[in-house]
Amino acid sequence: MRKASDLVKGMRASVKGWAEGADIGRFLDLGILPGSQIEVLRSAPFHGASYLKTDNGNYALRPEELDKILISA
Amino acid sequence: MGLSGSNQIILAGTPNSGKTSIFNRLTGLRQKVANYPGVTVEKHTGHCKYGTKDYLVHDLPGCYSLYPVSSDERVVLDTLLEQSISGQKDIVIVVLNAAQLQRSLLLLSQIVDLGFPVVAALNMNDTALEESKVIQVDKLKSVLKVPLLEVNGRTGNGVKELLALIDSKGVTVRSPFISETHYKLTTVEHIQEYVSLDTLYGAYLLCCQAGRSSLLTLEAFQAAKDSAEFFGLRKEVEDKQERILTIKTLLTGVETKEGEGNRFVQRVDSVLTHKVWGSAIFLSVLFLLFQLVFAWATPMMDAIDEAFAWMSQVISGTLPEGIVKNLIVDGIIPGIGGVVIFIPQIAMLFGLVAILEESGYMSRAVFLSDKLMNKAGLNGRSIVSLISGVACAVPAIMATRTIGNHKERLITILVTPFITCSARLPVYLVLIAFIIPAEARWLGFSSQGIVMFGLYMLGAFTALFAAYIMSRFIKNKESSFLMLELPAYQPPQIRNVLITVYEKSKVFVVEAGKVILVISVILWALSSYGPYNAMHQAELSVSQDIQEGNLEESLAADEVAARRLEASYVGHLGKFIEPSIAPLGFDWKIAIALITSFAAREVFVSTMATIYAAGSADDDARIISRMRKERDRITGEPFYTPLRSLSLVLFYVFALQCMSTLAIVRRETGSWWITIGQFVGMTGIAYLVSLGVYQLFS
Repeated sequence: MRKASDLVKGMRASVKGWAEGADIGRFLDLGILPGSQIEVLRSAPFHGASYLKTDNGNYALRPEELDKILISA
Repeated sequence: MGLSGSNQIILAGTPNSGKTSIFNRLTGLRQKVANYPGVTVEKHTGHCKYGTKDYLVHDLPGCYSLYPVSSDERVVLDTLLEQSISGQKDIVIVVLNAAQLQRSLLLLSQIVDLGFPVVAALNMNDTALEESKVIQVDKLKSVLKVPLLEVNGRTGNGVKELLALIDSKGVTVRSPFISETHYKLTTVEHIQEYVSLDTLYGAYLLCCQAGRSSLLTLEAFQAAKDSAEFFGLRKEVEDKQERILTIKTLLTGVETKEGEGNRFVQRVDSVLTHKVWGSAIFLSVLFLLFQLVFAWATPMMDAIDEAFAWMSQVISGTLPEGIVKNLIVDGIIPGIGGVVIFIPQIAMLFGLVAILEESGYMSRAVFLSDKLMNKAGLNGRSIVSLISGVACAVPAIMATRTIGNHKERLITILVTPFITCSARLPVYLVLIAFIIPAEARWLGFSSQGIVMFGLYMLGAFTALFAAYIMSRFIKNKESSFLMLELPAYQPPQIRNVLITVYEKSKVFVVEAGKVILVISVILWALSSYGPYNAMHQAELSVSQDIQEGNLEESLAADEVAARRLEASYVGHLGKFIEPSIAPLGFDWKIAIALITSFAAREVFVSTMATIYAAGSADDDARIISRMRKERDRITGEPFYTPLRSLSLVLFYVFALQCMSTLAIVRRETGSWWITIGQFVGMTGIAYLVSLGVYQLFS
């Protein structure tokens, strides 16, 4: 299964589920749910956080946090 | 307080819901900030009047759900459960973010299911519209089955109606969103009985927090637990998914989206969060922040300084000579002045930080700097503290409140005083003259300037390095995560900014001010008084020297001050500790300056002025020339050698020579142990560095 961290800038994908060890509760709090459309818009300097656009708002996520989001191919 | 339970209101909502604006609209300046017992989470309460009734409004920290991830959020669940246990449930206003309805309703549904009377306040309709979302308010009202009012924190519209509704007893308890039977598990029932909660859902939430909430220890939970039932993340996820599903079903047809969403945010963010442009703008913002706190506050601080000096003078002229006059004129008034002088910096810093927070820019700044700060074991928000620490550590440490993670906040507090603050500058300016001659040049640059720059870099590097080391050793109670919302941009509300500035200044004056005043009076007493004979002898010796022609009469006053300081308790203390600092190259005169400059580092200069009978502390050149004349008692060479001066400068780079910082650390961490540990640790580092440098090169 592909992870959100594999997303190339500007590509959209749909959330399928979560990888082992994901803080699922927090994702649910933010409204990042299975079926949500997500898109990585840009990333911060020094391979920092990613700017994630979702249909429920915009978020800054660390690369290791993006790793936990599984997406449709 | 003397208020009955029915006259209290709780305010809850998700982060960025505009809850604070509603709270400020309700209470204005009738607010009180305290800490929740045992944790350093701010508790905001305030009064508001409706008709003849006085309501106490309790503003809970913002949280996404009742499954807390930080100490801030934990307070929300604990407060609600404590009320459930005591049987005194207040009415809860849940502020709904119209742009994030689904998320807001998750929290609302949880609070309703705890059996609280809830009224929904639908806020920020403007932003929702910008995002091209249309909300059918009447439909929302009918599906939610809780009283709902449209409010606008920006204009204050609807806030009065909210109070009217509460006052008319129009808020009742509705049936749960998710039926109680859903939570009927053996363990939950046991815990419900054990802590005497009125709802199964409350017990269910508590079970998920066993060992983390003060209401349920892990042992008690294990004892009550049915071995077949598993609690933890899975139970949280099940509950949330169920709720989100229910809410989504309710919202069908209530919320319609038209168009492409908020293009404005994307257009702005393509610049402000850009790797290069965004970073450049961020650095400029930090520079502006530094300028505000450092340069623009200075004239105000000078004015405060003069005002207090004038006050001392006036009162000095009206009071009769004696200990009371000395205490007031030289102890208390300068002590209060030493507190008030911080207000311009605190107000400037918090005004600007509040504007950055309010506008939504702060989240972008955290996005940009998270990686760099995280490498050092800090938080993206730490950068605001570190940068403003260049002006003054006091407001910088107060600004750590916005760091949610306990460990990252603590480390930021501990390392911020390493950053070269403005009070170190006068000390460096005097001592640098002994390290490097003013005319020395290196590649065309003034060598003194280069050394000065080096000292600033050394402070910054030490702060980051210390943070890195500490992050390896301090245990983290909470997981470190970013997962940060980047909210829509909004024009900051002046009202909220001013209230923040007022609150922060008040907290500093009231909380830290006490400690600062006490320490400054103690320091004054120690340096103004001494064993009677010694003090008497000091004055006699001066008159003797004048009579014998060893001293010019015009210099008598300065000489009396110098000899009195030597004879005072501080002078004795200085001589007492001299052996312990002699390996660093320091003598008892420097020891005196080290003790008195604990009040504030810049006091070093005025103490040196007194010790070397140089009169006014404003004349650096005179102080420096006096210090140059000082001879080593044994060799007869100049005492202030470059090495000795370097050792002393390095001591000031690392040591926590500032009672105001200690007072604010005490207030922000709530612990004397951390405060004393920080003081001992930094002084220890300073001692070792000065010792190493002095011994290695002498």
